[in-house]
Amino acid sequence: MERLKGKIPDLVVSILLLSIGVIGLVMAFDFPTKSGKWPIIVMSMLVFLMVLYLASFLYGLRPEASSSDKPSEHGEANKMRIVFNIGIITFFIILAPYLGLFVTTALYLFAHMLFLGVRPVWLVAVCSLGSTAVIYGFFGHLLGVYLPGALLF
Amino acid sequence: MKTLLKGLVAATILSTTLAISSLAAAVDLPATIRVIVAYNAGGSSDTLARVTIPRWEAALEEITGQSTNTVIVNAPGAGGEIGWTRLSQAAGDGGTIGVINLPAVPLVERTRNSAYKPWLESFAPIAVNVIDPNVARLAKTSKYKTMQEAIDAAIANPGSVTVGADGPLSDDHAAMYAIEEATGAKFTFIPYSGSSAANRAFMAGEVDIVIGNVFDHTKSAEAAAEAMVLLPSRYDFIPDVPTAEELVGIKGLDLGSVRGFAAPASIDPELLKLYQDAFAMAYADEAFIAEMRAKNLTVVDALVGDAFGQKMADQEKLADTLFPLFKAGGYAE
Amino acid sequence: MLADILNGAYIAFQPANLSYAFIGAVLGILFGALPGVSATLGIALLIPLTFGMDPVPALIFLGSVYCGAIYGGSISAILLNVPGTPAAVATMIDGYAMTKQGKSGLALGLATVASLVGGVASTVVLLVAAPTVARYALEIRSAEFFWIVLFAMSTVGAIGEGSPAKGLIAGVLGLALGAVGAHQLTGSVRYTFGELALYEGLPVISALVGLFSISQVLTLAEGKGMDVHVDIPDVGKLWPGKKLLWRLKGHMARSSLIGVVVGLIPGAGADIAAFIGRTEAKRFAKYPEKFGKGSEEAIVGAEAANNAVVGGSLIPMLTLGIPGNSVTAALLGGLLIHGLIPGPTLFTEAPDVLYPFIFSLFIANLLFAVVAFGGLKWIAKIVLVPQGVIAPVVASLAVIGAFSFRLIPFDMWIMFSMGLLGYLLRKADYPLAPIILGLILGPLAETNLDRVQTLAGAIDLSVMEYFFQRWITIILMVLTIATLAISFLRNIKFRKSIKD
Repeated sequence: MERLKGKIPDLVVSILLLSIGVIGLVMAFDFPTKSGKWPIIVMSMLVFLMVLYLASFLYGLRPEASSSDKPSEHGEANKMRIVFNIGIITFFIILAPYLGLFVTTALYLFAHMLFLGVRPVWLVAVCSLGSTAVIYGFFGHLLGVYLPGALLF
Repeated sequence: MKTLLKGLVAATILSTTLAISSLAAAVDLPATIRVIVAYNAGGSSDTLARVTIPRWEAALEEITGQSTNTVIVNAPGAGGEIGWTRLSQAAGDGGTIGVINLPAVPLVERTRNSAYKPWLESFAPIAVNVIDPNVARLAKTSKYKTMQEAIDAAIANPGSVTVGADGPLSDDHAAMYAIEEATGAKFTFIPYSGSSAANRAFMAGEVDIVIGNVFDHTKSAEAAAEAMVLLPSRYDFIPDVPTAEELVGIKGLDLGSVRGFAAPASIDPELLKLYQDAFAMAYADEAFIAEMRAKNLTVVDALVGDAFGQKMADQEKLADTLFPLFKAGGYAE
Repeated sequence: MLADILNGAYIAFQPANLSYAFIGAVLGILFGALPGVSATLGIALLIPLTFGMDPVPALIFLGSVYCGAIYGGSISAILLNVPGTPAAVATMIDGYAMTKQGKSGLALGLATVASLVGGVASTVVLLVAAPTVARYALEIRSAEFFWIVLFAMSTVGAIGEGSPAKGLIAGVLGLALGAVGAHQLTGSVRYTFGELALYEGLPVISALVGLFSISQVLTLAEGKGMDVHVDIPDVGKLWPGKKLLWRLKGHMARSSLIGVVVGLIPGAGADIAAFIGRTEAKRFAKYPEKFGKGSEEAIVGAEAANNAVVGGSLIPMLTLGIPGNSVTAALLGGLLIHGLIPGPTLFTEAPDVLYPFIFSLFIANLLFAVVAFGGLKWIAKIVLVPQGVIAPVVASLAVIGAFSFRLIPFDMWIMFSMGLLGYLLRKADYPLAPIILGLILGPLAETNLDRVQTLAGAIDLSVMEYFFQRWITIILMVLTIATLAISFLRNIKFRKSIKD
């Protein structure tokens, strides 16, 4: 475990990409031949590269290999913080179709800024409302980007 | 000032030709009418909508005396399927109409079991005045000297002649099958994303024949050894291009891209009638037709209401005839 | 041809278009100066603003953002020792050293003038070369195009930053993601899981916005939100003086040339150009010993090069539809939205859009210089905005942008999942730009290969035999294989360098 320190993201990504490649490859064999050719080529390339990479990764983990790799600079980030950041954006996207983009954006900005430690609270309120107003001023009025009314308010 | 003048012209036409004021009073116009275009902004369908719809809006207001607001919504994707599905599922309150492209609508419907199936029952015809005929051309770089020679080669040696076009499932692709159907030839279809890409390949000498529309021809006429328009008679935008019958003796071809306006089938019949009348009024304006021509829109005599419905039925028949060829070519399951 | 150019100049100088260029340049500088918002991200976030515009002002706006953002990165690099964009890293070393010596005004002034020179020079090259390249490109056939695309992908490993292996993997991942959606030739759908929004593949703009913005937002949000860096030092006088500039003219010229050439090469971007520009400046410098300790030559060498990339990188993008780096990939997305399909025919079909766009790049370069000399003091204040405010605003722009592209709610999820993927990849030190290149180039490679196969079949040849029909194809094949070999060697070197 000690030897894995700072390399966990690398391992996770390697396994993720390998599974994308394998699943993609398996699915590609079911496509009608003409349309399956390219996916098979690309997915095989991905699987091939990832197997090579994983092999060299595991090889680098053996005990005698010196662990002089630079320690990961982002290793210390608080995991709960990251999960919360992801969660708050997820809520934004879930709520947008129900509450309307305008309201959700303002709420989201307020909540996320507050969570990120912007203080005092009145500044958070001003920033979130101000940004929302600027964004919609630009989109809806100045530039005429079409955002459906039902979703807006 | 200009719009005011146009309005006056329109009003005169209205008073002389159409007696609809009694009907108009009975219906309320929706506050906003969305016009769905199933392709990107800047394309030919989009241009058509952007040129026509303001005139139509003016005509609507002229007829009813009410005011309304039109918005053009581009809903590209899935070869048009996303936009047409949206159009077919829109409410029948008249708040949504759209541009339908034929024969793409029936072809896409058949290949993918679209949500708007059966299309003839999903869309109510409003009006059309733009049909862009197909033009088939033989490249100067091809080893065949004449179109007849190329077609003969494709009969004698199936698959040896290459035909490039926008596609698959485009009107150009359908036109190739129509030629096959009429002559017994068998071509190899080379699809390009967009007719300008097909045109480029044609000029670079990659394909023997290219099938496109009127302005594809005018853009690269010098690269063509021979050209033929796939209509029963010559077309007035390109009067020097012979018909397929004149050049190689194929009779009965009437192929092109039809871009018309339609509403969801559930639309209120009175509103539908009103919308049709408004298009008829807009099309009756000579100055407007001249403007359309200036914007390279291939204007034909307008088909309004049932006349457009008849055109749609014709396209359905065409799709029925050609669909087995699409299937045999591997373009549908 | 000449008429097109003159007409382009005329349109670009219309007051409305000038004001779009101005707004674009200012926004570009602001986004570029913001640490954490790169030029790519800036353009990606601002593309939705152009949905309602006509093509000409939209392109003028985006082009100005590009010019402004590349320049803006140097502001925070010089003042705060934080690169606003990756392209500013090379400037940072000497720029910040000068700031510590109390010469920040001089550093900024030099950066501004060098950026202006590099930007204008590369635009001249673009204006002259692009139509010519486009004329030759008309002759390119499917087989050659296929190999050009493969060559572009292979350079990712040979040139890009960091581990060549990871660059290649990211590129292949992009190709794999590009396989999502309907097969162009037969229309049969792949990897869409029944979702109509995926029918035409992952929407490039939404994917790009997510990949670059959400991953950045999550990285920014790891820290506490009120970490405002420092007070900005007083900027003082910017104008470096005629004598000094005249002494540095050779460095500016050389670096401009380097920037244009690097821009032409797919896979290399402004960051690499800046490093090469700086290194070469050192070789020819009068005072090479000052490098790293506040050398004027270093700043000029880096800044002229990174701004000269703009014009160079637009040549393959406009004439072939092949984006060389992530910024041009974002710009390409902007073009497609307005119905302009980049490629050799664009110059003959839409000269009334292209030439105004190219001219507006001159204007944008002049404008950012004017803005810089006029109000840098105030613009520099943007770096005082705390990350806790920037991160949520960027995220909300990304969500709204993804939605307003096609008005399909599902696109917000596509954007977000690409963002999470990007965040993971970033943690594992993968470069993100190759993914976007793969996503754009994958479908191009596939359709051209499909066509080659059908064309070869019509004359009873195998695909390989067909490739050997024309000399250009063979040359491109050799180039691609050579580039892959270079990546392989570089990877061995890279692994050694990590061990030591």
